[in-house]
This record gives sequence, C-alpha cells and structure tokens, in this order.
Amino acid sequence: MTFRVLEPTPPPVGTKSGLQLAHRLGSLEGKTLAFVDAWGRHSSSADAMYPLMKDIRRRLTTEYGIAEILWFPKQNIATPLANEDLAELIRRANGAVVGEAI
Amino acid sequence: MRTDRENLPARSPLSAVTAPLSDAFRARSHEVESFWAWHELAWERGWTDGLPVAPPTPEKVEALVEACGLPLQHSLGKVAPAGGEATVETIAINAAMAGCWPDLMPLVLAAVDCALDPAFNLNGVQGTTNPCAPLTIVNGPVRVREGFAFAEGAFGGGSRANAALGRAMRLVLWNIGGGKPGLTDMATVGQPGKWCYSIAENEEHSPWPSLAEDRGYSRDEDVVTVFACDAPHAMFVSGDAERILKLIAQSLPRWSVNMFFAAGQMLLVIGPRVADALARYGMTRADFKQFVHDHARFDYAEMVGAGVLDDSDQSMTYWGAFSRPQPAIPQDGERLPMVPTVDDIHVVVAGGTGQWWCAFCPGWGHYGGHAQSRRAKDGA
Repeated sequence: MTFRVLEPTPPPVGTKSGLQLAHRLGSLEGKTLAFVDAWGRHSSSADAMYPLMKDIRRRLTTEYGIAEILWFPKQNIATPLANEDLAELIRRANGAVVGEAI
Repeated sequence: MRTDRENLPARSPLSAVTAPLSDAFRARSHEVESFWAWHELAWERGWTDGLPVAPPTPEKVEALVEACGLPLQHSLGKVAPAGGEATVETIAINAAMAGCWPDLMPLVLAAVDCALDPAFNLNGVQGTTNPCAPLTIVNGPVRVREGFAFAEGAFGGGSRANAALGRAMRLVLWNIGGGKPGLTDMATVGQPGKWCYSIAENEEHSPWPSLAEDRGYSRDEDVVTVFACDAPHAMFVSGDAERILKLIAQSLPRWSVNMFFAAGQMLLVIGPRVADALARYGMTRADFKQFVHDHARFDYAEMVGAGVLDDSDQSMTYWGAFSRPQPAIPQDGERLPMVPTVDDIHVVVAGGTGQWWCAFCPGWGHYGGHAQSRRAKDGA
C-alpha cells in the first residue's frame, strides 16, 4: 500500500523565485571595495579584525588597484550590518569582503 | 507521582476532517510504498537531522492546519538563515513529522513566532559556533492538559508532548531555516538539545510565581518562552538555604562559562526541593535573582593572578564581546557580574521533588537568543 507525503521544505530561494545574483566584477582596478568588520575596534581604536583580513585589505590596495576601501564595523560579530551602513555599502561599493578570518 | 503522565491526550481527531485541503497545498508530494521507504527518502533528501520522522501525510497535515485556525499560506515570517517562509502549511508539515497532534499547534506557532522575533537574532543562533539551541519552556494549564513533563526527567524522556514540541521546533529550524551542521550551523561541538529541547515548569510544586507570570502573563494563560542556551549543567545544591546559596554563587561563575566573554542572559532551572528551601528562608523569585546577580560573580583579581586574562585578545577579556571600551579593571576586590542586569537571569522551577538537583543553562551571550515569550493563541 502506498501513501502520499508532503515535502517539509519551502520552495527554494534563489533564481527560481526571481532573485538574481549580483553582477560579477571583471576587474578590481579602480573599484570601491567594502569590508564588513565583525569585530570593530579595540578601546585603543586599533582595528580588532583578525590580521588576515587586514592583510587582504593591504594586498588588494597595493597589488590590485583598488581605488577606495570602505570599512564598516558591525555592532557585534553575530548581527547583520546596520541598515544605514548596508544602504551605504550598496550605494557606494562595487564589491564587498565579509566573514571572519582567524 | 508523575503528573506529566496523567493527562496524555487522546489520538488526533483525523477522522473529524471532512473537507480536505490537499488541493490547496503548495508543498510537493511523493508517493512512498512504506514507512521505511519514507524513512529513507527523508534522509536522502535531507529532511531529517538523523532521527526518524513521522510521515507527513496530507490527512495528518490537514488536521494540524485546521487546529491553527489560520489561512494555509499565512506566514509568521522568514526563518534564517535560508529565509524559508514559515507558513502555516510548512510549519504543520514539520510538526506532523515531529509527531504533533492538533492541540499542540498553538504552542508550535507561538514557539516559532518567538524565534522569529528580531531580538532573538535567529540568524545568529542558527549559525554560531556556540552550542546553544532554542529551548522551549511551557507554562500554563496546557502543561497538564497535553501531558508535558515537568517533574522527574523534565529535560528529557517519557513525555510525548515535550518530544513533539521540541522536535517540531527543531525541524522548522532544519527544514525551513536550513540550519545544517557544517554548512550554516557552525556550532563547534553542538549539544543534544539540537535534536530536541523542550521543558515545562513544575508550577504545582513551585513556591514562586511561574516564569510566565514573571514575564507579565497570568497563571491561567498558556505561554511559551524560547531561550537559546547551552545544554543544562547539573548542580547538586543540598542543605539549608544559606548553604544552597553559597553553592550556587560559587558554581555559576566558572572561568570558561560563556557569560565571562559574552555576557547576555542565563537560565537557572531550580528543583522544587531547592526552591522550597529558599522560599522557606523568605526568598521570593525576585530576591533569588537579585542574589544571583549580586553574588555569583567573577573574581577579577583571582583571574589576573591565575594568568587567564589577556587584554591583547578580545576573547580573553571580561565581556570582551560585549563592551567597547572594556569595563574598567576593578579595584579593591570588586567582583564582576555574569550578566548586565537582574532581568537577564531567568528562573524556572522544574523537576521532581525527591532531591536537590538544579540546572544552569548559559545563554548565547549579548549577541541574541534572548528569551521571548508568546501566549499560545498569539502565534499568529
């Protein structure tokens, strides 16, 4: 005897539901790149992001011709970027680097 | 006496469903030849976290949907991180897989609604390296009516209601929210509560107002509170009230507990015998919470002396994830609180009356997972 069961997952979110991925950058030359910094700053005002991310920033600037770096510290590591910062990122940046690097 | 076993619900009234909703379901369906064929299909498609799940047949799901009293496609919101829509239909399908019956659906909806509160930060709760899992805590007459465990074994085993509600919540997070270990759920070690995590308060043997009353609800309301926390850390705190209080004050502020680095909130599950001793000593629930805040503290000087603090690394400083600038280094033996305020300490009386066991459930920290409560009827 067969019986019918229903899938417990909703329809996939993505291109099938009308969302489109952002345009891929062909080159970094002259572009504005945003970093989303989960750790913010120490009380000494020094960047608290792990060294690898800071090194990526340095290399992108010196070796790949990035025109401008935007740096957005999050309120804390586990929350999304503040709405006003996200709006500015979308308005000004051609690309973004997010995530953690230990 | 196990009050949780006295009022097991009758079988779900599937036979009472006379107007099939099947044609309105948006979920894809499959024909399977047996329970075991379904069991394999569910695993292959990633619809279960490893435990067997009940087959969500249209008839079963219909009964759960009807119990909600809401339109089939009514949505409580998007479940992070995948952003799947938590419609009555998708919630009911997962609740059916968890073994829920219709009278549990108002609790399931309320629990999901709690987790979707922006203040809960479900995206973070699902993705964090911390082992926290959303714990559903049930208050009100529904505990007895539906057979929740709140006496012996309150945290696990023996109650269909605890199991079904906890599993429904987990499967919603799994199938609608897409919280999958190693992909989006990055919990370093995780915990068993990631399979099922649901308790109820032993209101009958508590000398204090319930958690729900503490949070502004009345005793005759059915209320769900959801709090993201670690697995329960057992504490044996026997004796008179003064000894109990000393033990609790010394046991909670372990140097490795999440509160040291991340503050946030924490839950204390107090056994009825311990609560009774404290009440006889004259302590109200509010008094007890104040005591914990004032006395369960970190000894900063002792930690400095032990060499476990390193101001050059945020993860090794007191409330390093919470405070910028860092709190001033305490002077003259001042001790530092575990959480910012008394209101960040939640207390539930649960368990049997036989011994002096309690449990400590540290929260995720200031990032989120903070306790959210809803009346059962408020799920919509």
